[in-house]
Amino acid sequence: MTSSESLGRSELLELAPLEALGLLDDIEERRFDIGYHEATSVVQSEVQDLQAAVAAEFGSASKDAPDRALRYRVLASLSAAIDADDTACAPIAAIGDPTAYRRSPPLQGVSNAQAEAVANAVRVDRAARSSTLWRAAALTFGCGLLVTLFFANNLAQTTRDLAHLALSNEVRLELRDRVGFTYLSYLDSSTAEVVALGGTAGDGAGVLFIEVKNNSGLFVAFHLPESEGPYTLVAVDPSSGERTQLATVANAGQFAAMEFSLSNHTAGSDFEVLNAAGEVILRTSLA
Amino acid sequence: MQAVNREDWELMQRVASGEEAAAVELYDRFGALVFKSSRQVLSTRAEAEDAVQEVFVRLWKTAERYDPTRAKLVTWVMLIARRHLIDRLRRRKVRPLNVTLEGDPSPVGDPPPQGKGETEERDELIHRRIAELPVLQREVIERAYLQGFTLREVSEQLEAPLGTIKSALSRGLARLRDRMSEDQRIGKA
Repeated sequence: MTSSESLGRSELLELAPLEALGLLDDIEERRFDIGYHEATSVVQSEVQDLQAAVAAEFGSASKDAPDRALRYRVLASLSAAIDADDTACAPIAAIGDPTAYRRSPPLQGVSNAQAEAVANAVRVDRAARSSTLWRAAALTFGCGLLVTLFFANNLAQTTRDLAHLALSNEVRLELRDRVGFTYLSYLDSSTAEVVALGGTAGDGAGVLFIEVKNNSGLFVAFHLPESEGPYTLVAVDPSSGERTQLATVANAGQFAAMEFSLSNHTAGSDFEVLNAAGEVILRTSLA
Repeated sequence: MQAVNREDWELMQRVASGEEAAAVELYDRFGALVFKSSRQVLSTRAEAEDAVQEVFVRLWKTAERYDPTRAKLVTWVMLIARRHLIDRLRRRKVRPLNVTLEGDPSPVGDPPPQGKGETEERDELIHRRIAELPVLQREVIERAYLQGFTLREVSEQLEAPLGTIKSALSRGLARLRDRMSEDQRIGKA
């Protein structure tokens, strides 16, 4: 296109809003682009200012506002896309890999009070840029819904009251993308194995992060019925049926976490979660 | 490069590098704008939310191409969003109603959602403002802005010269801007 066919100032300004809103076809778009680059810096600034104003005005012309939950969802989606693109990603969690656990001194137990504190307050630590995302195992609710948990750990957040979250967010069987708490090392780990715990509808779900090298694990529970707590995580020897208590979670509600030791485990253990009445509500198997 | 544009460029470079904090900042600045744009052309809130998710992934993928000497970041974001929305509309093959230029005003764009609780989901504000425009401007904006047809397609649909269509669109958008400014001033928007 020659300079004699380029756009004058008035035509540039007339087309600028159309261009900003994506309303020009390819030919007009090209013509506008050439005209813009041939314009003086003053005219270019005018075009930029006009387009920015149009973009902001038209983009805001709605009474509707996004839910807070959409923010989490979008950031989770972005994290997943970035994660998929990152060659240094942690491996996708394996479910059900049989593993021989080494014996080592058991870790210090975590008291119920501490567990309750974890359940009631979430603190997300800012992690180093090199930390990669962790994609947890899919949790299957008895009703057939699949919930995939994404854990992002590089957000600068102050202490967040989980109760506030529970009150301000509807309980949704969707992606939960940002959960951070004091057991971040399990979420950050590239070696921890993830095992899903499922049960019948209404019984919630759980996930285990098992760090073989440390012979330790983290139990994360979701939506366990509060009326049936406290809950006990047990390992079941598949051959003998012997049950070993690993951790107890009290008043789980929407979310709870508890660290546990694996020193008494053998390969191929099943895991179960029992309610206060001793009934199995969640189970899984590593076999 | 203006200072503000440089900061925006640096932000998009950080987004392009996959920095999560930058992605958070980008969403916090423009998430509402992208959502509201989506609600204008998509029938349901759920669809708009899906579109927002897709737009931000697209913004991440194209972040390196942002040129601060060409446009401010808000313009870039809106353009990416609009192009995505238009792609979405075209994939759904929405067809305009058979309304002549003398016809009565009627809502176009995505067909009204059916189902319990969805009849009120459509964002009415911009549609009311568009409905108040003169017939040609209204028809052009509905087809181009809300339905994603190109100006040439609109020209063919309305059997009017392309120059006429462009002028109508330009004047219609200017009128809409005036009305929306008025709405903002009196607190309607």
